[in-house]
Amino acid sequence: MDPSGAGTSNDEFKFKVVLLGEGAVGKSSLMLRYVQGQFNPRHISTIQASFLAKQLVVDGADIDLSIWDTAGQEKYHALGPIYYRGSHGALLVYDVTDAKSFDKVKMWVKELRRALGEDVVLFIVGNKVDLADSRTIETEMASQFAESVGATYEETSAKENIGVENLFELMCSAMVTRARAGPSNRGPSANGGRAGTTRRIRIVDEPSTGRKCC
Amino acid sequence: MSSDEAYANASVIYSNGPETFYSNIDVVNHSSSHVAVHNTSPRIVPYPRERPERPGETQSEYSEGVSRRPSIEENDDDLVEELRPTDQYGFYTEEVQTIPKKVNLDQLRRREKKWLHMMDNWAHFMDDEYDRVRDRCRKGIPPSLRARAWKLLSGASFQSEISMNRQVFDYCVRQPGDAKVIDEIERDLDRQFPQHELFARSGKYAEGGKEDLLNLLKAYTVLHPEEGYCQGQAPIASVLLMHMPIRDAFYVFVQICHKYLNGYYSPGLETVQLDGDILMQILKEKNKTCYSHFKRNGIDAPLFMIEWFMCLYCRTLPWPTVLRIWDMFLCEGIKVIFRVALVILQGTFGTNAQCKKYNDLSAILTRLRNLPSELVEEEALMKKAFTMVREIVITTEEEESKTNGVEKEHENGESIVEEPEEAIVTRMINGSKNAWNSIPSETKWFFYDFFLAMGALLILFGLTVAGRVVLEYTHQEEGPLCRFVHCIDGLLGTSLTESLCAVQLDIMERLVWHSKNLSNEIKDGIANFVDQISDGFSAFHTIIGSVLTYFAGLISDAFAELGGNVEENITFLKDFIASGLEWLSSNVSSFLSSFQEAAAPSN
Repeated sequence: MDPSGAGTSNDEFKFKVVLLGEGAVGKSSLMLRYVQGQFNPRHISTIQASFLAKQLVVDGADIDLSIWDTAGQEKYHALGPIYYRGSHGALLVYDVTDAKSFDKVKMWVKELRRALGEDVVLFIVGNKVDLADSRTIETEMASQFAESVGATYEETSAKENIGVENLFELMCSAMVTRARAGPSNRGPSANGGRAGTTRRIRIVDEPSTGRKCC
Repeated sequence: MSSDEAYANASVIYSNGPETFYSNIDVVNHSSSHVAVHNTSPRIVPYPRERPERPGETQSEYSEGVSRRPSIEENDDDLVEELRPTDQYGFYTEEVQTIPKKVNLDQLRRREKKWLHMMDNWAHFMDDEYDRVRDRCRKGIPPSLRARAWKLLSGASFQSEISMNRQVFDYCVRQPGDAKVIDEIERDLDRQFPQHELFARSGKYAEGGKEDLLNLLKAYTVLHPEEGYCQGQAPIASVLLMHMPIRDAFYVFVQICHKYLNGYYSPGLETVQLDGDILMQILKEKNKTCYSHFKRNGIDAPLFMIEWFMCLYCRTLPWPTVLRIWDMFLCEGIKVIFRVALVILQGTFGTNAQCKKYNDLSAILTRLRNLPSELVEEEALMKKAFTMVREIVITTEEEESKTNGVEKEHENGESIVEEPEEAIVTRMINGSKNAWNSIPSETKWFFYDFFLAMGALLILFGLTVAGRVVLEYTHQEEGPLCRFVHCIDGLLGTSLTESLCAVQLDIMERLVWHSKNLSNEIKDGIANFVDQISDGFSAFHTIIGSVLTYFAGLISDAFAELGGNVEENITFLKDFIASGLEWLSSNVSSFLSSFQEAAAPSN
């Protein structure tokens, strides 16, 4: 059950990344841009969280990346845990032209730290930087905030394909570093490869509470 | 004044055109009404029959300077959109419109007549011949009458025309609405059915379509400020607007939110999540293979059904199928949505071969987002929804409290094994509780583990049914001892069917947990087993040895007086089971008798 041998051959990792953020900030577009290289100005609103997978090699590691796109509207917040559970990384997306969407990012940071602990790699992403004219959130402010919560700040434009590839590579790189640094307390995830991340092992009876019937 | 004069007047008037006719006719009538009655030659009522006779024909001498030629230069994009071909439902299509699939016109006309008759006598049909209404909805409402039928089925006709609520729309739509909510709605206006000409970004209806959508959704939030707007509502409203004017659409929409999907869009989205749980429970009943496969791979209902249920499949299935589902849904309610979900799940993950092909979370979810076209084809899906899923039984409390939940149907005369056994079990449980409390906890654990291992062993030996009973009951809430009673019930063949797929993740979890206390060989055996088993059952026979070793180890460790030597051979384990059962029968007989005693008086 040791982490798969580093050094000799490529490590294999299976990572789950979740996209969170206010509605209409471009979460789905970022995912589609990255995985399929497309931008669709007529994308429908996301109601069903969905995911796409992509394989890539970063820092000498084979990564099997599954990206989860979620519904942004406040109402769907209740379903959040179902989707971000077991994530290794989260992209908290906001719209640089919309100050409200940045507030939402702050809220997500809190929630994820609470639910997933310090282990999760957080990226704060300012999307729609192509709309420079109507920009309301400045880089300075966002990156300071990111630093203060231990997250990384990146800017993208899914429409103009600015910084998207880079964003996901940085993310993977950070997750690889974290995974190699030490076995995560989520057991199987540090094991890379087929151990998978989405498979929950729930010990029916909790050993710590003593032997007691469920 | 003579009749001749009157006639002469009339002909003069006719030649002068209608305006003069209407201004003079009063005079003629006043002065000679009695004359006109006796007049033998009929007076000619003017109805200018000049060009343009048909809509669309122009009459250049009048329209010159009035009709405006669209400027291609300035609205290039719009024009391209406008010229794009659409299919019969108004969705843009890439290819030139092919001839739609052959419609049986006679049949369609027959149905239209039936529906017209039915709608003229709606109250009667709903009160006394509901089955007929239902069956006709299942066959599909003729497209020409769909809008009217939806209004009637949902009760929107009553609300919008007769009820005192008929003023509500006019009131609500005039209110400004909450700015925050409007903003949320506006974000979504461009994101509904962008391929439909009514909601495309530009094009001939685009602005009007979106404006209606905004007004409709806004009016609803004025009516229900506490609920606010939910993204799931926009697709529903859009589908309605494709069929009817805004006022009608509003009332149908309100009925859907009030009566059909009550609570789906309220904060917390609890109802839709609850329905997800219910769906999984029904799936467990109807298709264990699929259910187990989902459980093993960590698939919960919200990962795939939120959009299905919230949008009533309008984003999931081909359009003709969607309309058919809506026809039935507005008649029969939410159970239709459940049925369709079951048909889809059964069609995609109903067999072991399908499960093997899509064997992890990502493959499963991808499959569910790319449904096979033969499954979702209109007729095929409808047929399945009403034959395969004939009798659905709901058992949990939440389900019972749902007013229009899925009903039990015994139409095939097929009876379902249920109540009597249930009663016995309940009695047994009550009796066993007392007995159970008197047992030391170590022994309790013993039973638990022992039964688990027993169950797995039984399955390994091919006694799938019995093994599953054991496992299932071991996991029930009431405590191991009464589980034992259930097991006996099961062993005697009281219930259950189905397949080998029943070895569940839970078992593996427990194996892993137990492995902490075991020797290294056994641990390896388990690790091997867990790996292999998740790859599927093809490797089953190659691993049976190590599995059996594990179980033997587990049981002998725990139950020294039973186990004897642990040997890696099946003969031993067969003996082992035999001796285990023997032991059970001797040692547990005292417990058994105690709860038989306890149980007896209640019957």
